Amino acid sequence: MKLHHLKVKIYIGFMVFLLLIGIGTYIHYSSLKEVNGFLQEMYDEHYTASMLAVTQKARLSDVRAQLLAMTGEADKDKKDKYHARIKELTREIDDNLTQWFEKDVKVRDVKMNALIRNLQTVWNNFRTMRDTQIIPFIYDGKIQEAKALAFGIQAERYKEMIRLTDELVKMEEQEARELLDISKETFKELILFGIVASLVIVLIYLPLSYYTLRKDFSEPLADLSDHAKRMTEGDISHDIKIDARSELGEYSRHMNEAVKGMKEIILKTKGLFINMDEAVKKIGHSVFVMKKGSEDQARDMTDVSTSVEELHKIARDIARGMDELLKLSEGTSSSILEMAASIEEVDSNVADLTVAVGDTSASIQEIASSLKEMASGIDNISRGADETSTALVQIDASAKEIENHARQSVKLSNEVAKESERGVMSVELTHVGMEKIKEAVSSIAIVIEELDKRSKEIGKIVKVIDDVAMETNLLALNATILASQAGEHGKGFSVVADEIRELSERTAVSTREITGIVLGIQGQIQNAVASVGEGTVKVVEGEKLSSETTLVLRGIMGRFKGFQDMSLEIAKATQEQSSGSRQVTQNIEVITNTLHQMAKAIQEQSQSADQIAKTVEKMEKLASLIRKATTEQAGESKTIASNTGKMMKAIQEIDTACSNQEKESQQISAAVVETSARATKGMENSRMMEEMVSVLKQEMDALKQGLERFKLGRISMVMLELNTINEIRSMLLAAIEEKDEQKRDVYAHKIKDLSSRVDRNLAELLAGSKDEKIVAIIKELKLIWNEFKHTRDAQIIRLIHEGKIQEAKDLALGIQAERYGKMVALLYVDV
Amino acid sequence: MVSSSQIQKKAMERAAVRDINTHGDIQLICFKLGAEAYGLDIMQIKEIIRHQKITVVPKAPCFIDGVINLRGMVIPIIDLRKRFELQASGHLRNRIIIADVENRIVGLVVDDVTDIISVSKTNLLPPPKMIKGTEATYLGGMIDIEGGFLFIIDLDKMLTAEEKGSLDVPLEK
Repeated sequence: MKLHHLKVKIYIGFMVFLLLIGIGTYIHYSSLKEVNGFLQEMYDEHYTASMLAVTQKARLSDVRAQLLAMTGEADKDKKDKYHARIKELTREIDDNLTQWFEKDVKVRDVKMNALIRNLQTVWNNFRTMRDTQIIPFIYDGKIQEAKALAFGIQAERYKEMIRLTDELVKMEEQEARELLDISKETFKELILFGIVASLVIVLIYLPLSYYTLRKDFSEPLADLSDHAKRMTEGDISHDIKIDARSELGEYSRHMNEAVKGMKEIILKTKGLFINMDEAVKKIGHSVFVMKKGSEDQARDMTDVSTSVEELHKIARDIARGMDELLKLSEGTSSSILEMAASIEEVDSNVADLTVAVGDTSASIQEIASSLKEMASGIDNISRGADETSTALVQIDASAKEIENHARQSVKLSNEVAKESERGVMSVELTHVGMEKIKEAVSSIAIVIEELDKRSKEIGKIVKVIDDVAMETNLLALNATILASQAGEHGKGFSVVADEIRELSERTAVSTREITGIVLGIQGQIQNAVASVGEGTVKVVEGEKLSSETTLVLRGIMGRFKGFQDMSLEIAKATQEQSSGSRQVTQNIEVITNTLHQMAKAIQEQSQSADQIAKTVEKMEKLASLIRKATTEQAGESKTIASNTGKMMKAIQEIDTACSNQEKESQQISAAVVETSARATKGMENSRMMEEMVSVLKQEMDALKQGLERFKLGRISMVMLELNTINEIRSMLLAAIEEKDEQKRDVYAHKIKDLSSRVDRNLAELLAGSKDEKIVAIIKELKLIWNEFKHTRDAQIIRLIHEGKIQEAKDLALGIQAERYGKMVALLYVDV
Repeated sequence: MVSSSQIQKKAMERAAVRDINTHGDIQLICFKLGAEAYGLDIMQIKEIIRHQKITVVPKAPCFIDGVINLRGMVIPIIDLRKRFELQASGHLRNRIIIADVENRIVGLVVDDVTDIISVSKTNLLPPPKMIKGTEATYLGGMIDIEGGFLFIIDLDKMLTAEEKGSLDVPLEK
């Protein structure tokens, strides 16, 4: 049993009411019964006794009259007749006296008993003298003696008896009057009590019950109804405030907890939403960077291609030079052979030879320089390949970042889904609370029905009181009739009986009033039944509401599921791209290796060329020696020939190397083409991702709209403003990237609209907020927002118009991003 | 059982008391039949009881509705509504006035007994002249009361000699 339960309260109220009515009824009933008893006593004893005394008096006078008549009568028959009559009357008087004396001897007081005994004694004397003396005298004809006795002592005795009888009547009447005085007092008290009891019931019980009904039923139910209405409209910023510890209070606490849970979820969802928005922006940015990387890659590839072609050309030049060299070598060889064959001609031709050797030397130096050029070209290629490789590594890194973001999104989505499930759970909790209330309301209905039944029983009891009053009225009426018929003796009776009749009529009036009050209470009970019915309807509405809330939460869960899928797709695509760029990197490594090999070969060629140069120098020295000792030279011409053969061999080696180089150049070209194709594919992937990001943005917008349905109080509204500022930021970034003048104008226009909306909303929020803390936050937010706006309008937009895109970007991503972060931090600290 | 001699004695005594009262006021029992109020001299009344079941007696005189048993006494009942040729309306006949008509005890069915009043004889008015026939004989007079007239009924004159005679036949159970 808990005192604050509504059921218990109603029971207690009902018990108190029953107790009041019961006590009143009991006192009324017992008092009326007492009065009735007084009346009955008066009627049964005193009035009857008084009537008996009167009758006795009449009989006594009758006896005396008969005796006197008998005295005067001469006829014996008639005397006998009189005598018989006297005897009959005497017997009646005796009977009555005995009866009278014996029957009520206990209830009478001593004085009255003495009176009756006295009367009896006198009567016995009277009778004895009459029977023993007077009647025999009459029969004997001694009329004179009889008369003397009759008018003498008998007359005195008669007078004494009459006096005693009168005194008795008076005493009875006095007793009756006392009784009536008591009953009158009792009646007065009864009526006073009736009025006081009615007043107590009316003044204490009814206001109390009205107050209780109002405080414990109507007001909390109205509050609940208002709150449910607000919840239907999406406003969950207020708590229900019901202090009562009753079931309704418990319900409101459950409801508040559920709403608090919902609020937390929505706030978390909003936080997640902002995080996700950020993540999506980052993805967008990454995609942008990746796209740029792909473009750079493509450009680098073109550079590589150009370098490779140059290399190819140089290689061809080398080959041509080699051919010339070979031809020249062949020419030298034949000359030496000719020299050997016609030793005489040698001498004359030595000068020519020297010139030719000088030419050869120059050619060889040319080759060497060509080779050096080639080497530097290969270095260029190598550097280009390295750059490509670095770019690809960058792409890979950014792809990984994207993947990370995508995975984070999936994680966030999971969290949202979890929170939504918790929300659904808390809504189900609410549902359980509703069920409890429903039970409580039905038990209240049962209690009220019981109350109705009991008040009907009270009506029955009041009817009994009314019947008793009617009965008293009838008795009083009859008492009045009897009293007035008793004449002078009954006058006192008559007055009192009249008063009793009036009192009984007043009792009837007050019972009718009680009946009216009981009817009023029944009416109030009916009202209570009606309001309990209303309560039931409201509980059903609340249930409907909570199931609607469940639907909304399930919708949010569904949306996040779609979002999750999309993030997973992004992650997958990014992975594919990553593997593609790794392949490209591998290919480029292959190219680089080949280039290194080439460089090595060219170095070898260069060394060979140096050797050749040295040999040619030697040849020059030999030629000068030949000039000095032509004959000696003839002998050594075989050595020269063999040297020339060596040289030719070396030249042939170079030629082979050149052709190898050409082949490898072709391979590089093929690889570059492949890389180009891959870069194109990478760009396509970026475009795909861009599309996905835009779809994602649309989803986010839908989500945002769904979330905006909930009103969350001031701070949450400020958070919404922050979202708008974020939107402005992303538009500004888009405007910076945009090259089309018209489109940029459209962006500027939108930014202006959104900014004025933020200004308006912030001013409204500031005016409507009363919490000092919130006002301070909004003021600081406004300050930062004004700085943000100023920088944007005065600097960034000017820079965009002047075409200084890089500077504008630096400002937007630098100080403006910092300010935006400050605004977010300002809110999150407090939330 | 009260013996007849005792009843006779009481009647004599009452008559004596009535003679004393003749000089001053008379007391009237007021009762209602429908909306009209009537009065009876209190000296003719023995008591007033609740309405109870009336036993119909076969071949009883037509002015008698039936009999009731009052503490062992068989008392003939006269319905005053029928007697006064009033329409039987929805009012309850919830009282019976036990009256003494020249030493004959009869019960009169009325709607309700409302009051007992004392009236000075000088305030008595003669019955209206337009009433003629038997009705005029038993209207002893009338009194101006609040909201109309109270008709005083003389019970001794209400019953004809023939009816009184038929009441002398004992209606023992």
